[in-house]
Amino acid sequence: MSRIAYIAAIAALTLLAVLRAAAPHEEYAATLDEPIHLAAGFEWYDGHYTTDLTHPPLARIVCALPLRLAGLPSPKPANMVDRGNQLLYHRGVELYEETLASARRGNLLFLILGVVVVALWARRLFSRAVAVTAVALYTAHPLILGHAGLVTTDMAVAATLPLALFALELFLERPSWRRTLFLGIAVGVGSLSKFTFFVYFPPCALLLVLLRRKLPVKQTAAAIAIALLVVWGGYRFHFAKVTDPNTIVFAAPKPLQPLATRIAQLRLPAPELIEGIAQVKLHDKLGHGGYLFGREYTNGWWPYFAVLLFYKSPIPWLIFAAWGAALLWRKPVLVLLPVVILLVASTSTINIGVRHILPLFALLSIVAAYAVVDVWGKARDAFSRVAVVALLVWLAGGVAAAHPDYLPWFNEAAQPTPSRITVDSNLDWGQDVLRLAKVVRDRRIEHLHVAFFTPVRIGGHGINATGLTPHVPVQGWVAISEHQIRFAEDSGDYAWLSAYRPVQMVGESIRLYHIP
Amino acid sequence: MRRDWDWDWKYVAAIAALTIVAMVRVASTHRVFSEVLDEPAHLAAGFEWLKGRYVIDASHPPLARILGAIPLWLADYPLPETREMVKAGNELLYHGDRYLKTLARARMGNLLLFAVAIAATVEWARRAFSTTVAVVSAALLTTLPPVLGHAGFITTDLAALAAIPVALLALDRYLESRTRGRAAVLGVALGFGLLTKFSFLVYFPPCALLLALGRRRRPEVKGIALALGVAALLVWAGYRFDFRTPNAYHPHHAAHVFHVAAPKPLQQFADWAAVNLPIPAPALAVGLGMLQAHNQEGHNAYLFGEMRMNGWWYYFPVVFFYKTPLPYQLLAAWGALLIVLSRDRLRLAYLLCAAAVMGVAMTSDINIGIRHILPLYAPLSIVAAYGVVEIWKRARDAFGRTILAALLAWLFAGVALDHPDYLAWFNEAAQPNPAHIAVDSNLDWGQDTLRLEKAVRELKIDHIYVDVMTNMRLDKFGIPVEGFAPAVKPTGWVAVSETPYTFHTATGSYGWLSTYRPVRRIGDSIRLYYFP
Repeated sequence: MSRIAYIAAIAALTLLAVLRAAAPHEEYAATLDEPIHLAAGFEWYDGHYTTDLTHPPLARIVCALPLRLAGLPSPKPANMVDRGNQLLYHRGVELYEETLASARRGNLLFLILGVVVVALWARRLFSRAVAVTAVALYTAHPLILGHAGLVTTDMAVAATLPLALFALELFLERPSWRRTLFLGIAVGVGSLSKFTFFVYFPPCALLLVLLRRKLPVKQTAAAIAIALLVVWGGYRFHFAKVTDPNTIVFAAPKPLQPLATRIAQLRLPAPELIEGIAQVKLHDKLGHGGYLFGREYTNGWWPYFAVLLFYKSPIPWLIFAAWGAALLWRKPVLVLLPVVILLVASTSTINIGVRHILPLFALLSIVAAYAVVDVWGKARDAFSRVAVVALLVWLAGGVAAAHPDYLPWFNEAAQPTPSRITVDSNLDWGQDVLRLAKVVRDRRIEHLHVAFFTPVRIGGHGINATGLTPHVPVQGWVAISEHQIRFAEDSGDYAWLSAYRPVQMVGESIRLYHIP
Repeated sequence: MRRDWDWDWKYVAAIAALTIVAMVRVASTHRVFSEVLDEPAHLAAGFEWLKGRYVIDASHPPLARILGAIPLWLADYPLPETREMVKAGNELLYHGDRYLKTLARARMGNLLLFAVAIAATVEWARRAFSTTVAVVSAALLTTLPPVLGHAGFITTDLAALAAIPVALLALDRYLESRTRGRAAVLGVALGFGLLTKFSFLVYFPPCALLLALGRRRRPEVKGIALALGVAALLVWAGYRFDFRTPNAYHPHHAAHVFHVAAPKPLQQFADWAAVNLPIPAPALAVGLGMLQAHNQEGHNAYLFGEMRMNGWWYYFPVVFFYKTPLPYQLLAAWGALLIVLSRDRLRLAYLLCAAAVMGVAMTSDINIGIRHILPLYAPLSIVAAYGVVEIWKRARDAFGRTILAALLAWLFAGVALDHPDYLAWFNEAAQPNPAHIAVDSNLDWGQDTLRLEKAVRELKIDHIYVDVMTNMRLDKFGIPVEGFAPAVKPTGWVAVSETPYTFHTATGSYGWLSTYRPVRRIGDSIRLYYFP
């Protein structure tokens, strides 16, 4: 493959991926976290960063930029969802979708960054054919396409963690000052993307160091310093005390609590970062409601991410990845890194979506692409090649058929009821509320009983709704989302609904009933 | 596995093992399923034959029916008093309160035909392919849900599957060496085929022609005459050497059938012949007339939410696609491709036999189930087996073999996981609602009524409204059942099976029912509701 053809192929695949990821921009309602991210990112431009410190600012800043450039005023004091909504509804409800879409476009930058990292790393290790195939597989993965289309921090870390690991690979290979600078910036950018970077990067880096068996101390120190500077810059070089010292103290392990108490009294660079990490740590300590195979729990369940990796990835994609892993067992770095990420994730008590392991898909895409090219090259009979083509057609067709619903996509093994496996941001993140509004208009539904989470001001979109009271059967129209149904299984809140069949599924996540 | 086996006993042992496994799988369903819609009629007809006459229902030849009825005849069951075929069959089944035992015993007869089908398929396969292909073809044939499903009932469909490879094997042997002995054997095979199901008459001729073209051998007139003579004699014997006018065989009904079935210019002759012309095996002629009349009238059929009396030309390709395991179809397609590319005329004949059965079936106006095209699975399994063996042999890298292994694992496990529900089986492409595609004997033939009876006991239901496609006498089990008008919603427990559900939904009568979700699914075919 010539250099020009290679670049053209990567560019074409990237463009296609951007178009696919952007397709639901105006179709999906704001998902649960989007207004918060937007409010936080917008606030950053005002010179401070106090809204929801559980995420670093990079992706938020990028997504809020179009709204900033459009001249939207800063929101009035309110809770963080409402502040995000003030931005989204500022130009009127009729322009809500357009405003939301303009913010969502920012995240596409991280999709492009992810593609570039995949292409560069694959090309460095293998051929151009592998690189192009890796990009094709990466951009065909529904999780990448789904999360690249929202104002969230998941796509950012999906791109920046592989970027930092790639930079570390280059650095360990030849620790020049240029590569040191690249590593420092990459780690800094990764740290500003999402806090999962802090749990995934260290063990992955350790693995790379162990495999290379060297670590140039001077350059490493320089890279760390650069990374710290970048991170501090990301927090606007803020130097102050933390606003809530108790968070830091409670989050610290018992023996370190006295030290944490003292640190909390000091002025620190980027105190928001420290406070944010402490908040996430506390969140992890407390756990978060999770659901897997009918089981509700709060403190995590180790198979969660492995199960979701299986059900939320196209089966042919997994077959190629497994085949590639078998082929690359002598050069296992690209195979071991996703395993490390998965192992770390399996210790988490926050089981709210496969999105938390998004970074491993860049690495596995390269592994899978190696398998595709290797099988094709070595095949001596038509059957193997036909099998490869059939698997690729299945992959591309199976995902494309669900367009633009990449976010709630589950593979064939999860059908016909993916919600029996899991819900939350894997299936039902509030994305279908605008579709519900359209259905309400089309069916001329005057009143609706509802049970779903959404940050959207549904009244403004023509939905005249009353909340559905648990255990109280009603008559007329009822809209309930998969998340609500599954999380009410134990309590039986909506068990009475099981006697009825939905009139319609709105998107993939809302059941619309008409109770006679 | 080697291409050719050094030891015949290995081949025999492999086929025997596969046959035993398949028979055990089928036999294990005998006591699970209630009688399907046609079973009482077949049983009554077969039993009547054993008692010396064959008039209760001539719409099928007697062989499979006789095999089903033999255990009852040996146990000295009395001849039913009623002449209505379903009631007569049920009289036998409920005789002595041994419903399940009687039903299971009668179902054993078809296992014999199943073994014949397997043996004939592999022997026929061996004539143009390797022994390995033959063994694999047996493995594939005995994994197919439609084959396993229909092998478990007292019906004629599995017999029809056995008849095609038996007759084509005999024909091939005759074409290879046109001796009198082989012509006589061909005659026996043809007679066997004619006594299994009338569809043999339309499926065998094109297949025979294709095989002769593949062999490039023309049959001799003498040999064919001998074969036809033997076949005719055997068929006559199968109809107990009956010789009389059709009207004497079945007064009024025969004359009516002849009149309806005959082409317009021949109707006067048909009227006269029915009354005045004594013929051997008049039941055969009446049966063929009934079939022709049935085909002219059509049959209430359902496909993709639509109902028609005269079916669709694409009905059988559609149900074949949805009722045949996808990996089997992939392997058959690969085998077909290799055969076409190889330009081997004989092997091509096997492939075209399967296509011919499908082509003939597509002209039928009776679209009530995949069971009517079961015979195509014999040649198609050979083609698919050829695909399997060639992939394995030609694969130079592990990937090809791994994909093949994965396809086979998908095939075997995908079907085994649905044990014992082979009859109602649909492949992954038909999920989650196969009933939207096709119902009737593809999904709901009354097989789950026994399971409904168990559910009624388990839930302690003291009254239930039913709209279930069954001939089973639920009242005999002490279940208080009542029918209901589909357009009116009853209160309490209601059981509706997929065939009436789809039919009444298509006509709009069950519009109200679509709002509700069943409390329980009984087997694959019955929905159990509760309306407070």
